[in-house]
Amino acid sequence: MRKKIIFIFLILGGLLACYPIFFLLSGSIMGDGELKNYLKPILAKGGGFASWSVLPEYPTLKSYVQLLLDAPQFFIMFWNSVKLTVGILLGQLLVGVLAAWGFAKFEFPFKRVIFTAYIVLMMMPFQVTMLSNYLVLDRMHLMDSHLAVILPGIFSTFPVFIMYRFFASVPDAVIESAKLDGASSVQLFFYIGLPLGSAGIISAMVLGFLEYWNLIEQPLTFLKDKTLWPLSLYLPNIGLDKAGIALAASAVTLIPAFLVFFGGQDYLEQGIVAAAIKE
Amino acid sequence: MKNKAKFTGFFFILPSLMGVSVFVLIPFGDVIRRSFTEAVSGIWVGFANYQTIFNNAAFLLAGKNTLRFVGICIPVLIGLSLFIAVFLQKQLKYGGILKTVYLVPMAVPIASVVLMWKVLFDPNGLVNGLLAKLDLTATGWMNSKYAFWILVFSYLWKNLGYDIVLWVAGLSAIPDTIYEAARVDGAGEWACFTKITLPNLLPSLYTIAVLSFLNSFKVFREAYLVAGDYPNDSMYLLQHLFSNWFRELSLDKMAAGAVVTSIIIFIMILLLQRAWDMEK
Amino acid sequence: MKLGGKKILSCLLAASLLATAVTGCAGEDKGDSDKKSDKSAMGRYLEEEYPLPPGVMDIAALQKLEDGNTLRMAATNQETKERGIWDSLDNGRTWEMKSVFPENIRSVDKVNVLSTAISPKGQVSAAYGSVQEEESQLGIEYINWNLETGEKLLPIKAPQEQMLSVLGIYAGGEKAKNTMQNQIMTLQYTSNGELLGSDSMGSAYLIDDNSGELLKTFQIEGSFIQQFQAVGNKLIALTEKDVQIFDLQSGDPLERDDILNEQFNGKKDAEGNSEVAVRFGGGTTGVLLSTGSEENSMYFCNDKGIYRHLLGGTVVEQMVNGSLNSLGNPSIALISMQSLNNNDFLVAVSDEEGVSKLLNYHYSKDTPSVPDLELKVYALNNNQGIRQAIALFQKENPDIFVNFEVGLTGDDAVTAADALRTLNTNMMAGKGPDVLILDGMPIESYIDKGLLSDLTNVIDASSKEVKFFEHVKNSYEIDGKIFAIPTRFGAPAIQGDEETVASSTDLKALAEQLEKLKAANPDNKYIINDEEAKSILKKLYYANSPAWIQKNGTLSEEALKEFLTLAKRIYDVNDHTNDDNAENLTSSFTVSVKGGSSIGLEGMGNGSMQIMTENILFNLGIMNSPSELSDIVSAKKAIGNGSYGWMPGQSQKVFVPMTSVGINSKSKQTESAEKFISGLLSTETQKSSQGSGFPINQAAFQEIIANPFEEGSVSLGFISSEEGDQKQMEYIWPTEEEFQQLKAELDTLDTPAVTDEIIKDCVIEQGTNCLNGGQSVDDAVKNIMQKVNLYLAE
Repeated sequence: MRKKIIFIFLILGGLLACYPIFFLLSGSIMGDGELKNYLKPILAKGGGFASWSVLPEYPTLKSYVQLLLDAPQFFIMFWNSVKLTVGILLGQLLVGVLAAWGFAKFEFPFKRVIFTAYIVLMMMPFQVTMLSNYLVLDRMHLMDSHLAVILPGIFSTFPVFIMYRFFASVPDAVIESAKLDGASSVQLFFYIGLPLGSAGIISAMVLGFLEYWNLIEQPLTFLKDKTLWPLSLYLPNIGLDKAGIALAASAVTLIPAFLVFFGGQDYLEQGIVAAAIKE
Repeated sequence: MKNKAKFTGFFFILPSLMGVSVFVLIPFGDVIRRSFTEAVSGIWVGFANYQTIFNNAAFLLAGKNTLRFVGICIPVLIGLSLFIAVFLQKQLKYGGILKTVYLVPMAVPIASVVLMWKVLFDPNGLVNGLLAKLDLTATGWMNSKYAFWILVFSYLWKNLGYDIVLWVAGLSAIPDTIYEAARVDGAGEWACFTKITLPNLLPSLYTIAVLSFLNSFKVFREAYLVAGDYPNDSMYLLQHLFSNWFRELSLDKMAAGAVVTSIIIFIMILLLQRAWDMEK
Repeated sequence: MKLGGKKILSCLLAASLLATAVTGCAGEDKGDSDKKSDKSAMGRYLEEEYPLPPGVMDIAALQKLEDGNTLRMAATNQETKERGIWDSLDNGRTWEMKSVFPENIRSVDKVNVLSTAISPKGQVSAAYGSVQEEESQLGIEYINWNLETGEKLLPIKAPQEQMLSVLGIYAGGEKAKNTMQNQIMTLQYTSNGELLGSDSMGSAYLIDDNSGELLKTFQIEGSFIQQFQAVGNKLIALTEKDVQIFDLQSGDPLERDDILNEQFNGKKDAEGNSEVAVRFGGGTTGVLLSTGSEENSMYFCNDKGIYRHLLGGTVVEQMVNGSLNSLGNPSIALISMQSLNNNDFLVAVSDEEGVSKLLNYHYSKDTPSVPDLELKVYALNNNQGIRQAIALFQKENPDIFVNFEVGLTGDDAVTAADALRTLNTNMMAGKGPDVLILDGMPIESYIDKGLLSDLTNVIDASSKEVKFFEHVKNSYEIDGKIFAIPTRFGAPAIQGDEETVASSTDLKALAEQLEKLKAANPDNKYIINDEEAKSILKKLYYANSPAWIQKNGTLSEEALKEFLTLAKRIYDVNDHTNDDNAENLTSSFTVSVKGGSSIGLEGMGNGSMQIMTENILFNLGIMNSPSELSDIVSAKKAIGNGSYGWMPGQSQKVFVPMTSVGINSKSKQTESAEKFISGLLSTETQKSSQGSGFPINQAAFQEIIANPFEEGSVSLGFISSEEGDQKQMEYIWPTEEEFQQLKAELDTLDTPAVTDEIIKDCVIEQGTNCLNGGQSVDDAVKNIMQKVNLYLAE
């Protein structure tokens, strides 16, 4: 009995968690009139309260058509987002995996200090180092190019932290026995580290994707040329008076995130599983 | 191997270390330097900026709020997610689906979250509409002390699924055989939980705590887009202050504030690590 | 084994590093080569203004004749009030009058010519209005003449399948629905000398210019051709949707040209609707077309410059960069463009006063394609006045390129705070703008931090030549140094009957007087001119805000409470029971984030008009141009009793600093920046751009009070009341004495309003909610105090 009650509560919680998705999707297929009608009390600051319906009375794809057909910059921004995200993730794959493996399976001087520094740096809010970052990028003549966002992204310490946890869970015994068979460090990395850890790598990539797909401050600061801007900068501030288009744009932005998310979800969980297991 | 090839591992981290030095460490070093100088002129002022911020009411308030936020959110999040995880792990049939459902908020773009907030918590918004139907008085949510709790709620909503998965992972790593042995010895469900589950989960706690802590900083953009630069006192966080200081070009104060913050984070990480090492 | 392993490892590392390095370098190289090519490239079209013949103010048509040497122009001589034809044999440099228009359409006062066209063969055709009194409708007739042989009427008849019902044409002041015949409205010649015309039904025709017969019809089913222009053997038509191209010979529609469509329909709002109707010529969004020298080539001209394009091609080549000359000036309208045989471009434009100008663009191969010096000017919000000033400055300083950057364009996610942070980062990195338009920026903080240069020298130099409004000039003075200066200002004012204006001595008295007015006129729904709480607060804010700031820099809670209490009383004198603001969605959400505001909308003009029509009894606003005094005196005349005065408030004699400027102290171009600032303060710049504030320069003030109407004539305006009645309003221009009095009064304003955006946004946002009944005065004050105190504590 008690279990059933808990279960019902959990389902309610789940609905709550998903509510924004329903909100988003239903709003994006509402006509302007219906949307305005629902949101009128908020927009006009008059009496009454806003209301909402999960099922639109007159569903229409007008908002999507407007967004996809009439706003060419939307596609450019979408493509920019893809470029930035993929660029960062590929770089992290190259650099981060190596580093995580290094931290997880080797001992060397100052390892502990460096790794702690990595964690502390991971926690810094962006505004704090914004100016200093800018100066570095400017010195390297990277400003106003996608590299200004991609390079610092590649060297984020977050994926190292995630992947470290999981590489550390590769049993030492396996490594020792491979070594006895004469495997070199590089062979160990390629034949034991990577296969045993692929799930963890993917989970870091999925988390990275969600993070960089929604990146706001960095492109805003480092990219002056608006034709280089990613989709995330098109979205956040569309006011309520343009709710239809805002919701449709959000829905479109959501799609790649969802695809990656559900595609990588199993790995994400496995990866997190691996990461959480005791060493 | 570990002893013989002292620097092999170092070679693995070298590319990362070089990049991190250039793009993260050097900028951070620059921030530390700036915390001892005047913002525009660059004149050396010693610890004057630190003195200023510790006498600055806004910094103290923001620091207090941030600590309060972290202090409330992280235990609640960790506790709640552990509870759900333990429960879900036993629900084999629907557990997986529910887990996924709880993860959904992670993928929702900030724009939609912000739009939701506005529609829900506006004085004429959905929540007040609901309250009115129930004959309760409406509140200006974002201008009241509830603003802080809305922020807490938003954080929990977004990160619950993530932590649940982390816990489930930790749980699944505990061999069933231990439980079976305990039950044979006559241990009840509660005893199993406190004597077996909890101790075995402690190593996961470190990762979960660090990640939850990290994610607590990300709630700022939503808060900022909904409530602006100057929200209600109760949800005025360090990032609001940093962001405003930057706008006003008070980079000296911001640098000093950032250094203080990172020292506190550093201490917290060390404490967590210490706790974790002791468990090992 | 181990050794080998290490080698592979280091190779791998090297490879990954190399990859990073290569990509890094690639970016760097690109940047550098771009810069180099910019620097070394020579050759640019330079602008020169050609003088028009004496008296010529209004160019109607401009055409290069087929002999290649002669340029012919149809224009109006404002001195003789006659239309005539001028020829130039030196590509437009000097003009000689050839003839006047035929007798019946010569006089500007008697006949209205709708369209004039000159053929490459030299013939002229015109469409003109002839009002037939008894039928009370507009008839259009056509005439065609040749300078040698004299004129003949052209009997052009447009198809009459459908009759048009035209609203808005009134005869004798009475409302009458007239039907109007479909008629050819505009005429134009092709480069072969064939006559084209378009009618009021959205079709274009090829017309026999001897018989008036319609030879060919160009039309698109379901589309309305709004404008057209012939380029070579093509007809380029602008419909309400897109750009259509026809073959002139066959009359068939041709393939769409994407580039042209982009150019013409490029300006769309976020929802994909065309924000502004782009036109061939006229207005800031205009585009002119002209036939190029090769097959299918054409030139088009817009505010960005002059471009060459091959029809159907994908390439557009910029010939003239509009940001380096008058083309970029937002106040000019395009009339006509000709590409000349000497490869120059001759463009006829009209300036903000409607006076035509001839601009010639000549290629100078010894001038760097982009000026060596670049002066960066930055503003948070777009500012037309600054754009005009830049165009003027650009013309006088061809060696300096002014790059005007606007932080908030409104079509992306950037918030004011975001824009400021990016700006600060740029400035701290030494890459910031040279000149800052400080509206919406933390001016005080910038001054404190030493980010703004001392302007005292520049201002003193200018002061020697002209007199400034002294208090305004010193708005941001600290210890005798001026770090920022408003180039314009506004004055919060009230207008109403003499007694009420005179008795309103402070905010409290104003509220009481307005309540008295309400009591005396219970039937009036509206007493004052604003229905929205937000705009009332915006207007009241300026005249009261200085009183809230206490000596220690914090806000006075009492003063704020008094302000909101009284503002609510003022708001309540209007009847808000039937307000339905849903249509003017002001999206109050974005306020806190977007920031930055323009003052233009808060002027006095609209209120004066409503007083004139007796819709309201009292007007509040920010007076910001002399023409508003015209509105006020006109209203006074209309209702027989009226007066105006500075807005009484918790503070008195307040002015609103506008378009404040400063120089970035880290700028390396201080000299150019100072030149630019003195340009902004010069009489020539200050007298343009009306409506965005009074000029701070008193000589400019003196110039803009000149009567724009003709002596003795009256300007009429019409306004429809809610019941559908037409009311006629007579506008009169104030007398010299009235203006001198205004000037003297303006000179007494000595308290700058609090322009701090954070405080302003906060008070208006919370106050709006309070006036609307969303929260009590106490709550609003509490919220404002809390937020502002946080701000001040930082």
